Amino acid sequence: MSHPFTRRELLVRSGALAAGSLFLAGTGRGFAANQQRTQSSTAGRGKSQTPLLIVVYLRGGADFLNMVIPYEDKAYRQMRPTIAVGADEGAIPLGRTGFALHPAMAELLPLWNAKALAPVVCTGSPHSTRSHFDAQDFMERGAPGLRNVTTGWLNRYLQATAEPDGSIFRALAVQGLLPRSLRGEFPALAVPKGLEQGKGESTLNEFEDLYGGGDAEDLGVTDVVGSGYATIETLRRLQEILDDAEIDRRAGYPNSPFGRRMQTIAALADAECGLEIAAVDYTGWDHHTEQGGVEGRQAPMLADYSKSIAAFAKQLGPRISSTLIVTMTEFGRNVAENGNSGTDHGRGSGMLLVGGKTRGGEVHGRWKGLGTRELIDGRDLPITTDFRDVMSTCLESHLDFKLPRDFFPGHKVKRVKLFG
Amino acid sequence: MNTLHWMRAAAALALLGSTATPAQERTAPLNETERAAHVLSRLTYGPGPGDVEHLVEVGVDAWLEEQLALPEDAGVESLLAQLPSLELSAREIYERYGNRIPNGGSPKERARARNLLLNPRDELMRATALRAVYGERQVAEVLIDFWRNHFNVSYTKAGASNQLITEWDARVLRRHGLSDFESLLLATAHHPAMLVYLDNSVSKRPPTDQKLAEIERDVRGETGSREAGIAAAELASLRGVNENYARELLELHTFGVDNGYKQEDVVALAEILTGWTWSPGRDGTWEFNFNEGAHVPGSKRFLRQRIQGNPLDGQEEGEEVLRLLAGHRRTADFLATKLCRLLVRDDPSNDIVSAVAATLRKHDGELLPAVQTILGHPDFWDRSTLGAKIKTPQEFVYSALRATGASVSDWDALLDRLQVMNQPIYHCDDPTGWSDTAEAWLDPGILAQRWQFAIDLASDKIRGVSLPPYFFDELSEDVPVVEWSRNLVKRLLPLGIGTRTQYALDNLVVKNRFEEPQTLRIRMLALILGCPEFQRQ
Repeated sequence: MSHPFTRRELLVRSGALAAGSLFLAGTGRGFAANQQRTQSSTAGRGKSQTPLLIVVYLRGGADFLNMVIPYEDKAYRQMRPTIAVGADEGAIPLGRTGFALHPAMAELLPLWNAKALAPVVCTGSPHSTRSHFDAQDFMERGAPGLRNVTTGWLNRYLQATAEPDGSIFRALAVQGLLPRSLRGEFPALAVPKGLEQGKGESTLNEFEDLYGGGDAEDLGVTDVVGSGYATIETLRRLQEILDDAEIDRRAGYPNSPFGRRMQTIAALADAECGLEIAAVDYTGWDHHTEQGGVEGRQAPMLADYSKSIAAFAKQLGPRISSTLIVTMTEFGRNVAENGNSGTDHGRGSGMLLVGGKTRGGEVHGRWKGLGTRELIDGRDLPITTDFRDVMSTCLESHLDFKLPRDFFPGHKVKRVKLFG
Repeated sequence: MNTLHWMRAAAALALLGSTATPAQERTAPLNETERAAHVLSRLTYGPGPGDVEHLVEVGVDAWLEEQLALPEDAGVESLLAQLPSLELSAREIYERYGNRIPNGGSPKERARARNLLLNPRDELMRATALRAVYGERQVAEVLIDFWRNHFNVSYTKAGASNQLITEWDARVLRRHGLSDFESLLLATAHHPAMLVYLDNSVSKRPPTDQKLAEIERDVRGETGSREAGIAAAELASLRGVNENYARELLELHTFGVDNGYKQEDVVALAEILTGWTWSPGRDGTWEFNFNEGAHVPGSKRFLRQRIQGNPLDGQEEGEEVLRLLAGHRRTADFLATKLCRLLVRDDPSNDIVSAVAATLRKHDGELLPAVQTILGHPDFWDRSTLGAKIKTPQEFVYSALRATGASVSDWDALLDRLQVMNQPIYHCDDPTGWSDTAEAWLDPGILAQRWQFAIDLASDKIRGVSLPPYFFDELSEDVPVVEWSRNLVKRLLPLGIGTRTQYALDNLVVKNRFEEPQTLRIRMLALILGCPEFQRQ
């Protein structure tokens, strides 16, 4: 794929430099100017609202089978004698789909009823790796088995659609390090934790001269300089946005790292600063032991996840229809529990779509049941939808992006009817 | 400052501004100072006052010999002695510090129990930073940390981590870190910290059919219900093998991912290692324990070989396989790649990697001969290698403390800084350990924390940390201000300074020449610690 701009060029030509040079010239921080530009460029695309895509990554291989549960399947209970969650345990049926939500996910039920929640079952990768690190790499780069692909799928989209005057808040991760999906040529922002107000501002000022533009080719420091450069401009504006944001206390965000991250994204969405892609990690889903059913280690995490998503949707109100939240994880877990009330690494998993124009209120993806013959190696959920096909559909339908050939290298995209 | 000084400064600035690096200099061999600074950047946590000069004087070979002749913990023994838990066994830690916070009791009592419980963890984190910054045996510290990252275990696993990792650090990593790889690998595999971290401690053979029938009969007898009997037997049949450790043992500890093994091999290795557990608890020894009853008996097929095993001793089977893995060509290749990535560059050439792999094979995986091979390879001395590595947050913090000669009376604020920079000691969740390449540490946004640290260190605002009183002595008002920046640059950036940083430094001086001198000195120091060159090594 051709790259219209290099990372350096983008940094230099984007709002980052425009704002930086304004600042150096002593005429202020240029936030308003940039915001105006962003709005006019989206207006040019004929849309009232910038579509926003939020990718939530559950790291560790979340056990999807205990989130969207085939609770009526006898094999499910047989293979999970201590961790099965069925009607008796309070699983919440999703209409007559044969699936139910884990009771800890009750907060998502209103979204289902409003047809804004669409689970896709049996998603996964054709590559058989059960390594977290490989599976995450492959998935976030959208290139199972291809180690020479090193850019993230979201970054490739951003790079392909980059405009020289685009918002520098187009893409960010609300965490100290970018996830792999956002790494690549396009400069996405990692929002560090704990920058104190005011103090952060003077720190950025102090390093303005050093990182603020000019020729970075000496001593091979281009990378550090480019990174420092983006740091100054974006954090400065981020601070302004968060300072101005009104905290929606009624929305009911849990006071957890994930809840706070979703809250930050909501503030950025409110600020209309041109945010288009946000990525959030939720770590700790590798439940080899004590995963449990209604109780155990997974349930409180599911509750935290669901409450945060529900609060986010509540805060956005009608704008949720231009905001899509996609939740994914690197692989599923074995259908059978492992004897430590946990589950080991498996294959087929699932994805959850919330908001946007998603066809909610339905369970998507082909379900073949839990018969031993249907399972991969007799132990793992089969994969009936390649995760890249879900990603493609999200890019095309939600972001109105025409996928270039080989966007997912070597993969022929099959469209999934998830939208419309 | 008087006018004359100022004019001199301006003239010097004009000269500096015009300095550019001609193309031929980019390929020129490193000079003595550069060589010394380069070695110290990679094989230590960064040069401190006088280190570059010393290395220039004695030469690389003699310096390395000096290093290796030093006793363990040279220079930090008395400081470490103030951390009483460091040398304790897991059992002793359990006995002295407890292993849980009591459910009852007043909040005050619970807080006390908690502090006591976390004491060994906090002491080990302090000791690790202390050794990195002040330990004189720097090369050994760097290499031991290579293993610390390679065989990652983490307090984030909770459970018994608080009791186990102290012993792990002292008796596995520090004891075997410089010996042959086989002893090290065997030591890691026999330590409860690893077996707990990667769940092998709960991996066991599924019960036999006969045993299941017994369970069914017993439960049916007790409850009078046929269904209850069947359910109990079904449940029991699931208690079995956990593959987590076996997989990482291949993927992360020996062969490297996808390097000549298959899923069947992971399963076989997991079976081979069933029964490798430990005996915790009040009456237990808190040590490794092989549980024959949990071991999957019989021969297994691993890496296309038949692993016969000893029917009388299932533990021997695992040891045989670990020895096979330790001595395997693929392991040497993987370790060589990682070592070159740490010490040479993010993308080491095949040539240097295969040279290092050959040395590792010849010397049973010992690191020191491999380091010698690296030092003897032209890649290491190539100008393009100079400053080619980005410091991790830990390396950045340690090197800043060393470069400034700062003293630390309380480590906790520093440890918190490592946390906000995303690299807290012994808290890496992923078994992969921390990333050792630039990509992970350069996302836009993350440099802000380093700049904050630079400013706070320069202005003595980190609790428990202070610059030496003499630090700014050479920057007195009798010396022209432009000399100040030269002095600082020479001390802190022995690998050299680029025109951009020089310009920013000069600009700082020009703009703030009427400021209070001490304020200006502090700002210059902060700028240097936060500049691109100081983020590199």
